[in-house]
Order: sequence, then C-alpha cells, then structure tokens
Amino acid sequence: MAEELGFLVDSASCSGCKACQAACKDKHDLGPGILWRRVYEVCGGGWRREGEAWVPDVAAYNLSLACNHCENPLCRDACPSGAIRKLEDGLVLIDEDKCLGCRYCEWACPYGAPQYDPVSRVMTKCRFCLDELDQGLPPVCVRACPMRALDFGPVEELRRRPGGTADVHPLPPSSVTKPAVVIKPHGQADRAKAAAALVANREEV
Amino acid sequence: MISREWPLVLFTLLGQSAAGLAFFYLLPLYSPAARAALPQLRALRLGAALGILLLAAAAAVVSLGHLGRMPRAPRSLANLGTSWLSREIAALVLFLIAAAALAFGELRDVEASIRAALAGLTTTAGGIFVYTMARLYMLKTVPEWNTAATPAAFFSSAAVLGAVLASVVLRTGHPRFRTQLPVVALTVMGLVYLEMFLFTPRFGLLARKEASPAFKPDPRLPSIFAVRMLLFALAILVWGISILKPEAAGPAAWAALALLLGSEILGRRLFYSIPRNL
Amino acid sequence: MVRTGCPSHNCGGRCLLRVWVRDGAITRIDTDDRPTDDPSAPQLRACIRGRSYRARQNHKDRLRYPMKRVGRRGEAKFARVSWDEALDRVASEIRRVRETYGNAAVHIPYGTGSYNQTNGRWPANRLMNLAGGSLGFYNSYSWACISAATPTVYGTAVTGNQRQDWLNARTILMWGWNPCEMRDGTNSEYFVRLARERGARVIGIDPRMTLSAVALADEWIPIRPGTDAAMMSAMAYVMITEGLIDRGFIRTHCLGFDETQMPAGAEGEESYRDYILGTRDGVPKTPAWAERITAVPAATIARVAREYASAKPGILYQGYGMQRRAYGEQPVRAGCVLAAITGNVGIPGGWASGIALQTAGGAARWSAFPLGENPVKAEIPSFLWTEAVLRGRDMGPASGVRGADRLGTDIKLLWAVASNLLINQHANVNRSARILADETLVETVIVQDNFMTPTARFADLVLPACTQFETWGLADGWKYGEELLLMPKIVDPPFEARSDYAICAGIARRLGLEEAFTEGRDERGWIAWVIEEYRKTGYPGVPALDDFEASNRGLYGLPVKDPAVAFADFRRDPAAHPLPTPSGKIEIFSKTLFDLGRPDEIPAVPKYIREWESPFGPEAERYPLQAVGPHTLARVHSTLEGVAMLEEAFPHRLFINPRDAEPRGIGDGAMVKVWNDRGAILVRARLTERIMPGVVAVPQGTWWTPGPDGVDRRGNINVLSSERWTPYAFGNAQHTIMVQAAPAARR
Repeated sequence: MAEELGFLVDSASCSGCKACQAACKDKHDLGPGILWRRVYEVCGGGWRREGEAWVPDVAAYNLSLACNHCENPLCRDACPSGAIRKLEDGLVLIDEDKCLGCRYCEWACPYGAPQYDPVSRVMTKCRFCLDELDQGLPPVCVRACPMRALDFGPVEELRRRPGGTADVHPLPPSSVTKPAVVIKPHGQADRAKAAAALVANREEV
Repeated sequence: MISREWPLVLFTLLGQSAAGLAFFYLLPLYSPAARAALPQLRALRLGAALGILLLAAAAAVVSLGHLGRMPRAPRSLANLGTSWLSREIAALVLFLIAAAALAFGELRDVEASIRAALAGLTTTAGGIFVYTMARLYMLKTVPEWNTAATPAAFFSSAAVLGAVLASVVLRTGHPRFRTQLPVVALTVMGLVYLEMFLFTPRFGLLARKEASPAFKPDPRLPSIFAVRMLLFALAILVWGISILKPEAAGPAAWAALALLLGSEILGRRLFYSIPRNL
Repeated sequence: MVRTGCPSHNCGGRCLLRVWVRDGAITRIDTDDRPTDDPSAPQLRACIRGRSYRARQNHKDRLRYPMKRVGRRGEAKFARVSWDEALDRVASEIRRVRETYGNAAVHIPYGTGSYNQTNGRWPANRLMNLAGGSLGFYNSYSWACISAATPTVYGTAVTGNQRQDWLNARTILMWGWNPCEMRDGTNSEYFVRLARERGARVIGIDPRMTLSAVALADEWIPIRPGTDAAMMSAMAYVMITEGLIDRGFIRTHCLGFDETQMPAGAEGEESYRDYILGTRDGVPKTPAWAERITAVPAATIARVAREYASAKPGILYQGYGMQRRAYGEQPVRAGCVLAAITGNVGIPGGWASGIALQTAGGAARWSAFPLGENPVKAEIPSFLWTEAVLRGRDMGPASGVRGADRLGTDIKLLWAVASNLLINQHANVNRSARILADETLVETVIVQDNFMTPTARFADLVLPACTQFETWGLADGWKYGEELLLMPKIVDPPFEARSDYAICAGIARRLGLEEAFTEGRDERGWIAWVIEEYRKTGYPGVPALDDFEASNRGLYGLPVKDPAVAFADFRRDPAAHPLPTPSGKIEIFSKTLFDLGRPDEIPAVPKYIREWESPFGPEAERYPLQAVGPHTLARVHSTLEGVAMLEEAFPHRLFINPRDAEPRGIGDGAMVKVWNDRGAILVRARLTERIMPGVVAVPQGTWWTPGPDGVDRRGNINVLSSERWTPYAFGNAQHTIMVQAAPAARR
C-alpha cells in the first residue's frame, strides 16, 4: 500500500494571512463561501488592570485546515450515496457525480472539510491538488505560505518530525477520525485550552 | 442556519407523526375489543391507513427538499453498509410499502388476520423508521447528539404527536374513543414533558454538554428552550381542559395540537443548532 | 502562463505572480515557482491581495468610457463622451488654468493606485513638466515623519541593513511593526521567523495583537497609541541609570547625549540625558512615569530596556503607524537614539532604526521613468494640498512650502492619476468633500482610474485607465527587494480604457508636445529604456527587454549572500566616514531642530509630547476611545475594494475589546456607529481580546459611501481623522483621533 499523504501545519508560525486559502480558491475557482482550506483564529483569555497598566492574558493562534484525509473518514461512512472514497494513497475524495448534496457529511466531519457548493449543488472539498502532485509539485496551499508554515508528505514521516500532534485545542480528539494531519502547536495552545479559547472568526470560516 | 434545515424540520415532524400515528391509531382500531365494532370502524381503518400513508409520503417528498440534486435521490440507498442515512431511507420505503399494503387490504377488505398482520407490520416499520432516523444523528463527531437522548427524543416526539393526533381524530370518529384515548394522550404528554426536561440534547437537565466548544454559544438558545417548554406545558393544560370540559373539547384539542406543533418546531430549531463542527 | 510582477500598488511587498490567460481574460493567478527558496533569494510569494487580482481585473465595475460630469460636483452624475472630446477638454483646461493662474495652479496629487514607470502619475508629471510645470509635492502619506525625522539623527534615510542580516540578531523589537499584514518587503515576516529560529527573542509592541504578534513574537506588549516615545524614554532611563548604555560608542559617534558633547551654540541647553533624568523639567522619565502614559507596566518597560540593551545585537524596528500621528517625529527620533546609545548601529545583527532605506544596491528607485525637470520650483508637503486649495496664494515655508517664498496661487486644477486621495485617503473626508464640491475653489478635477472611486465621483472628467496587467511595467522592490520584476502587458484593456501613458500622450499631442513627451516610444519602448537605466545602476547583468520577456522568468534577482550593514564604515572609523549630518555624528541633539526655536513641538532631543487628541485631554470626555486605522490584508490602501474573496477572508470590522463593547451594549457582529466632531461611520463590530481596552481599530481604505444623513455606510476611518499636520514633517497624523461608539439605531 502506498504511503498515506498528509498536511503539516506549523501553527506556531501561521499568521492567519490566508494566502493558502486564497491560493486554493483561485486554483479551484471556488465561489463565495466555499473554503476548501480555512484558517481558524483561536483566541481566549482577557485583561487585567494593574496600577495604571493594562496587562493582557490573551492567547491567540491560527489553525489552517483543509481536509485531513482521515484514516477513519466518518464522512465516507455517513455518505448515503457512496460518493466518498478513500484511495490507496490515503486521500479521501468526493465523487461529485454521485453526490446527492444532502450535506450529511458536513455533520460527520468534525473539521469542516466538506463544503457545499450552491452552484453545482453538491459537496466539494480538498483534493490535495492531485493534479499538482502528478507534476511533482506540492499542493498550491503549501507553495503559497509566505511563512513557509505549511508542508505535506507521507503522514508517517511528518509524524516523526519533532513537536507534531493532531490534538490541538479546540479540535476534536484525533481518536475520532484519525486525521492525517500533523500540527505543530503554537506556544500559547496550552494556555488557550486552559482559558477555553474559542474560534474568534466564525463568520470567516 | 435554520433556513436550510427547514426541510429536515418538516421531514422529521411528518415522519415521526406518521410513525406515532401508526402506533396510537392502529392499536385501538385492530385491538380485539375493536373487532366487535367492526362494521362501523371500517371507514376509520381505511382512513387510518391512508392517513399514515399520506403523512409518510409527505415526509418522503419533503425530504427531497434538502437535497442539492433531487434526481439523484435513489442513490441515497447506495450505502446501506455503513450509512444510517441510507438505512433511514430504506426504513421509510418499508414503512410506505407497509402502509400502502394496509390501505390496499382495507380497500379490498381482505382477511382480517392479514389486515391485522399488515397493521402490525406498519407499526413496526414506523418504529424502525424512527429508530434509524435517530441513529442517523448519533454521530461520533457530534457528541451531544451521540447519546441515547437522541432516540429518546425522537420516540418521545413520535409518541406525543401520534397520541395527540390519534386522539384528536378518533374522538370524533366513534364514541368509544372519546374517554380513553385523551387520557392516554395526556399521560404520554406528561411523560414526554419529563423526558424533555431531563434529556433534551444539550439543554436537558441531565443532557451531555459539549466538553470544549469551538464556537461561542448562541445566547438565544436557552430562551428558545424555555419557550418550547412553556408551549408544551400550555398544550398539556389545554388538553386537560379538553378532557374536563366536553363542551369545549373539540376546539381545545385542536388548540393543544397547535401549541404542541409550535413547541416541536422550536425543539427542532434547538436540535439542529447543536452540531458546531469547525 | 506568464510570470509577472504583482501590481502590488503600494502594499510594501513586491511579489512574483504567474498569470494564466484564456480568450483574452485572466483565468488563474499563482505565485513564484522557482525551484529554490534559499534565504539569499527566497521565493517572492504573493499574499492574498496579489492572489485576488483576477477578481479586480475582471470586475464588472471597471470604468469603460471617458465621462464628463453633468450634475453638481460630487453628485456623481456623468455622461459618456468620446476620447477626443475628453482629451480636448483636458488640454484646454490645462491651457486655461495655466494662462489664468500660472502653472503652479495645477497639481497632480499623491497617489499610489499605480505607480510603476509608465503607469500611474509619472507620465502626467512628465507631461506637465514639459508643459511649463505644476505644483509639486514632497513627502508621502506613508512615511512623512519617518522620512523627515530619520535624517535629523543620521543625516540620511539609508539606515537599513539588508534583511539577511536579521538572522544575526539576538533581540528583535517589532515596535508598531506588522510585516505579516503590511508586508514591508516581501519575505520580511519570513526573515523574522528565520531570525527567531536562530535564537532571536522577538517582542511585539503594538496596541493590537497583530498577525505578526501572533506568528512572530515571543511576547506581546500592548501600548497606548501615541505614547511610544514615552516608553522609549523610560527605556533610556533604565539604560542610563543602570549603566547599560554603550558609553564608548556614544563618546566617539554621537552628539548631544549629555552636557559633555553639546554642539556649538547649544552648550548650555538641555541634553538628552538631562531630559531623561528630568534635571531641567523636574520629571525623571522613569518606568513608573511611563506606565501612567503608556499603560505598559513599569516592570515590563524596565525588563525590555535591559533585554534590548544587553542581549545584543538587537533590532528596534519601527513601524510606520506610530509616525502617522500628532508628533510622529518623536518616536522615530527616540527609537534611533535607543539604537545609538545601545551601540546597535553599524554592526551585523544590529539596526540603526529610522526609515531604514536600503544600503548598497538594495535601495529601490520605485520608478526610473524620466520625468524631466519641473519648471515650477515650489513644492508643498503632500498632505497639505487642501491648504493649497484654500489659501495657496499666501502659503510659504511656514506651511511647509519648499522652493518658493510664496506659492502665489491656489490650486485650481487637480489631476488625480491612480489616486483615491482627494476624498477617500485624505483626512477628514467630509471636509475634503465640501472643499471639492465648491466649484469656485478647484475649477477642474480630472480623475484617471480603473474604477468609480469616491475621488472619481468628484471629478469633472473621468478617464478610464488600464490596469498593470494591460500595459508594460517594471518594479524594483519597495523598501526592500533585490529584484527587478518585469510586468509585461498580458491582456488588452477592456472597452475604451487606455494606459495612463497613452492618455498622457494624447494630451501631449493636443498641447503640441507629443514628440517631446514620447520620444517616439510606446509603453514597451519605455520599459526597454528603463531596463537600460537599471543596467547602468544597480543591475549590470539585467537582460535586455526582448530576452527578459522571452525567458518568461518574470524577475531578475541579485541574491544576497553577504548582507550589507548600514553605517559599517562610520562605525569603524567615524572620522574617515562621517555621517551626512552637520556634525558628522549621530545627532541625539539636533542643532538644526534647536534652531527652529519651537521646543514645545519640535524639541532638539526626542521627547514624549502629549497628542492634541488623546485620552488625557478634555476631548476624552466626549470621545473616550482612541481609534487607529491599520493596514489590512483585505486591501492595499483603497485598492482592491469590492473584491469578494478579500471581504470574505477579512470582512471590514470595528475591532473593539469586550471591555469597551459590553458597557456600550455592542455585541459581536452588531452594527455600530462610530463618530466624533468630524463625522460618523457605520461598521460592524468584532469583539476581540486582541486589542487593548480603550483602543478601537477600523482598517483604513474602505470606500466612503455616505447615506442621505451623511453617515458613511462603509466605515471609512478617514471620516473621523483630522487634517491637522505634524509640526516638523508637515505629515499626516491620521491615526491621532478620539471617537465614541454605540450600537447603530435600527432602521
């Protein structure tokens, strides 16, 4: 079996500039509201007055997520029409010709990967830029990052790099779907969890 | 968000009503006691079968409304192996077939035991339908749905809708239904009220709460839950009046049904607000 | 697929785009795909703005035809005219105004909607210079104070090391600097990341927890806007009292630090040390003193001071937002002085601060298109054009006029090329609109642009210009950049749009100047000419245009293996390599400023001066919130407005702390009215902990869209900003504003 591919997201260095999101949207001609890659701004904490000073206890960081091409793709299990498959190389793909547009996979995916296209009226999502891979190129989002915070590769290899995990607040436990994603958490991730930080840019994702 | 869930709200309401009706409507009509009144009840039984068929068919039609690609609806049966949505549609089809067969049997006046068997089949299929419908929401990725509270809520809704609807319809159909059924319905309403209070997903007293939500909760939801409970309580009150005051029974029963439907719609608004995946 | 330089307007980056075209239209845009990404010549990866140009290029609202005004000015009622009629009218208006009022009555204002060789205002400048000249300007809306104040310390604006040298730093203070959003040089954010990986500790000092603070900083220190010089002064106090300053370097390289090194003619005056220790004014600039002003804890100020002075070499990088403020000269000078007294000047990994234009070959020229000489010698500060409209005839050096004792005339003809300045980007929009609406003041307004901007709505003539994709261009970096980026013409202009150059050539013909103007070249011919210019200066190996184009490389780069360090010679031998200051040294005390005789507003040593609108004045009772207008990734100033992908990614919002929002009843996502005496805007709120209490942010550049009540529906912060200029640079102080906010009344 071919090695399963995954993304690496260096959340510590992600600024939230959304170049990845834009690169993806432009390449795939995605209309308004369709975000195969999305950048979640996590923010929590607050402020205290100390003397004349304002002292922040604010934790904030970004999580850029596409589809995690999970080992256990619950979207596939949920799909009534059998439109979602997991390929040999681990990629989870939607066959848009089979999709009913029932949007059930939206609920089955905890990461928001499947995105409904109101024009074609079917579900769409990240295809890992298979056409780019075939030409020996990385996915466009990876190539786009001005901070060089995105990478991709065989997920087992990514997992061997230091400091990676797939359990970062406020993502669901990775045991649920076994996502093929490796995230280097931001230095404030633990504080954010303790402060019950939330996704602050809901309207943007 | 709720706007795109409207077809699902109607689908679940109609489907659960049909299944609940199959239970509370067919049971008295096919009970041994009812056989004595056979000639008078034949029209009711035919009406019952057609009514259930109609509700279930309406549910099926409404469910198409939430598909992006309606012509591909038959493909919804393509993943019976793992998809509870496929199974739900299969159960709905079975339910429709059973109800249609029952109606056909009543129309052709076939052997009573066959009709009773068909009634039993319809009731069972309705139950299976509600079960699959509930299982569909028990997703690992939506922890607050993924509890026994979801089937409890779905069967509760089916029961209360079925009991009240059956009672409203049958009480005008035959005098013998005028006393027992309303009391049964009142009991069901009371039990369901308690169930809602304790187990409504996310909002019930004992319901599972999201461990670490990703998004700020909608601050309006608790008050919507309060209104739902209030409407339901009013429905119980008005229903009680319909029992105590036979002269106002008709209008009061219909008013209670309307209150109940309002409460149920709010309940679904709350239910579909739960998944907050990224 | 064509490789080209990103149009980039004036964002601070200069990136490479790959553009796909089908059937004459752009169908896709990607970025640099060079196989190597070495820090000596990293890929020039475009941001979301560059990646959004397809939507702007193919936008349905592009201007299609020349139009003339048919209603009152500002009503935006126009009728289509032919190019002949439009250009005849421009030529005759130039002639009429020239004859009636003189050439100084014609002004081509600042603007950066396009400013690339033959595109943007340069051809108009060239034409007017041939046609007797026009009133010039100096300075900019971006850099007014920092470009004026840096030379008061160093004698030059070329104070920056090349960025590869940042990797040698141990401490980096990103002071009001946000490279992730405004970029300030493609890859600047990436170089900070690399420096951090090499062990530098990075501190972000900013009222907002910016994208840069999140991605690059080990620590974020919020500071009240407009008080940076107070914190810097308190840092100097700590360094001086704790003996952390570089005494040797100060003695040999600086002037005016203490009483032992005051310049001739100012011997007994207040030295920098005097000011910091409070020996004259009785106010020692202690961290506790600064805490009351800056809202930064005294202990934090002291700690940062020790860190910057001890963990050397260090970079104190000054952003530009803090100098677009009331006394924006002061934090610039104060930062430079901190760099000097810690001895961080002229060493690898250090940083002299100030505007930091690039030394040795890395300096951008922005444009090499020849403008010729302007026969009108008078220049105004770019920000004072409304003054020159209202009282130009009496304006002189006291109002910043250079090159003349008096202008002698008001501005009577404004020709805005690729500029949305007149209404949208200038301060106090309602005032600008009143001025322009008075047809007796400016008699002719000509606007040349891609869209019907708020400025274009006030035009008498609107000329549809082409975009950078529709003509030839060449870019040589912004502040940083070691590349020449070729911008070939990729698609044809839509409808009747023409290049700025072609428009100007048409006017030139009507003024009898065509040959002098074109010298027989078209746009491409000039780019070939410009490339030869660059070959003669910093890029001897650049291929000629034909080869450059045929290679489809898009860029010609000069990899930086051995980054230049500004002032290295001066550092080594100050006597042999003196600075171009009057004293040849780093002027902590500036005799030039001292001689101006305005110590309260233009002190000879950098000081904290309370702003004219601040939380400490009586104005704070009615307007208790400080408002800042940061750059956003959703626009380049006012360019890229109306692009759905950008508004989706970064919707226009009022960023407000919940501590300020909740007592006002402002909920997340609610429509809010923000106002002061100058005007009011409507904008949705985003409640965020990432901005300090007492401060709100409204990203600048949205297009002014007043409702019938005059309230701006699109939340343009310049409705609230003030036309008052800074004392020394005559610069814009658009961030110095106090406002109030409340939920908008439901309609």
